Amino acid sequence: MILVLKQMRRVGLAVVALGAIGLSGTAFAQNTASGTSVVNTATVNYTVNAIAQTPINASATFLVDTVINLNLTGGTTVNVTPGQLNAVTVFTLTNTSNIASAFTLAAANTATGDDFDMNQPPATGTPGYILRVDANGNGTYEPGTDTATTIPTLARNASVVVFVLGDVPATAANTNTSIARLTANARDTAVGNPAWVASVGADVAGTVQIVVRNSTATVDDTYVVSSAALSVAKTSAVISDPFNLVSPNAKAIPGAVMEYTITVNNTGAQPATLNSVSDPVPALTTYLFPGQYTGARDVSIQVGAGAPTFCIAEAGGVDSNIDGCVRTGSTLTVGAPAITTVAASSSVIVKFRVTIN
Amino acid sequence: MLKGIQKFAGVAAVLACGLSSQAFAQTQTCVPVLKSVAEVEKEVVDAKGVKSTKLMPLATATPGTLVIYTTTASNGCKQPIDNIEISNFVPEHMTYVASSAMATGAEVTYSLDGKTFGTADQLTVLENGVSRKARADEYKFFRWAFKGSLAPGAQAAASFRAVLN
Repeated sequence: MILVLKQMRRVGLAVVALGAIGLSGTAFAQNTASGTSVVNTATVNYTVNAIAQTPINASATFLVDTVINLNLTGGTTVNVTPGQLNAVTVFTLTNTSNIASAFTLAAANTATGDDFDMNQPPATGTPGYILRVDANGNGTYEPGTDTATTIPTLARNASVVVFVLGDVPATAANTNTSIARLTANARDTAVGNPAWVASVGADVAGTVQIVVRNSTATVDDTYVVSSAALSVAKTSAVISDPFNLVSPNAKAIPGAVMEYTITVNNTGAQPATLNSVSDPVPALTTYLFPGQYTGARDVSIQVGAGAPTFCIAEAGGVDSNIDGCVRTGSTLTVGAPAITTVAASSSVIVKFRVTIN
Repeated sequence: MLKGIQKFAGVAAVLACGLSSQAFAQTQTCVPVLKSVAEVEKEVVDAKGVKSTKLMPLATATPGTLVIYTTTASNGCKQPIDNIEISNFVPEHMTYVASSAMATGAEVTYSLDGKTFGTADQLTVLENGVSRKARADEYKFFRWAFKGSLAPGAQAAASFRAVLN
């Protein structure tokens, strides 16, 4: 009697301790290891003629079957720029089987649901991806370290990060998307990694059965092109003429002063480097030099919402005062330092004036 | 005197029975037969196409399986046995299903540690210094105390359900 109680207490303590561990990992609550023997022992105490008798025990035992299952998470969005190489997106694979499993992996473009296909690195120019398994568990792609493309074995409940890499075609436009689809297959850890084969037939005592609950998972990540999108517009307005003198009454007649406005607009999500804005001074007009802007300057430059600045476009192709404005022949060029970039969702406006011949 | 001796002999015989070794006890007919089984509910369809749920023995199981444990004590003696108490526990890797511990003609008490037994209302857990009522999934041990005696040929049965983690 006493001996039996002691045994039961010992079992009880073990159960309580394991229960506490189980609570911390509730995500895998129903994942007892394959092959575990689950033992239950019942005891009966009784008396005969008021005298306590030796308790009797009876046991019931069963084996835990193998269950194959997996969980693949992705769904992330990665911002890329046109022409970007080795753009990395991240997936996480968890072995929710109750036994160690091997996994094969495949990454592919999707036929529908997106705007363009990523290309397979290294700079092949043909659609596709490469994938790499995180070797050191830090979740960051390291080309020299993360080289494996399959998972020979992943322990029960263990997770591993899978990187998918693609090159962004230079032709990809702002806001265009490309879907990277990762497929993971759970495979037997035996040599050659054959597919898991579900057991068929009756439940056999003492033999662990294999139940393939799910051996394949597919998840998409999305690349989104986030680039500059530039447009240029040119307008003209009459500032003054020799008779009516000023706008709005001025007419575009010989001798009138015209102002040309060149607007470079960036509707994209990324800033664009603006090397220069060049414009041939229209035929039958004469470039107004020195100009009518503040300080007798001949070019007005407005970057974004800032106040206009002004510069001098020297004739002869030499920007001697290094303000970024110069005329070469009849072509006006405005560059650095007057303008350098067009910020995202912003514009650069260049103005100059001519007289009509 | 004779009566006294007979009386003494009777007491001695009973004492001998009570103090006897297990081997000796098993030679007596007064040992109930205890059987414990783990089973699962399976839906079966008979020849007429009528569906019913049947308990089937369990040899192996996948996580998530609901297992029904049933313990049966049968009195094969020629005399009644008394104060029958069946004890059982939730095996490691399993979680008790609330309100599933049952037996006919017995009071069930539960325990979290195998030491302190009580009814569902009596069991408490100390969590972060605060005492709260124990949840059913925290019950690990059961005791079914049967009222009255078990007549020769009769059976006492107790069962509970648990899910394989």
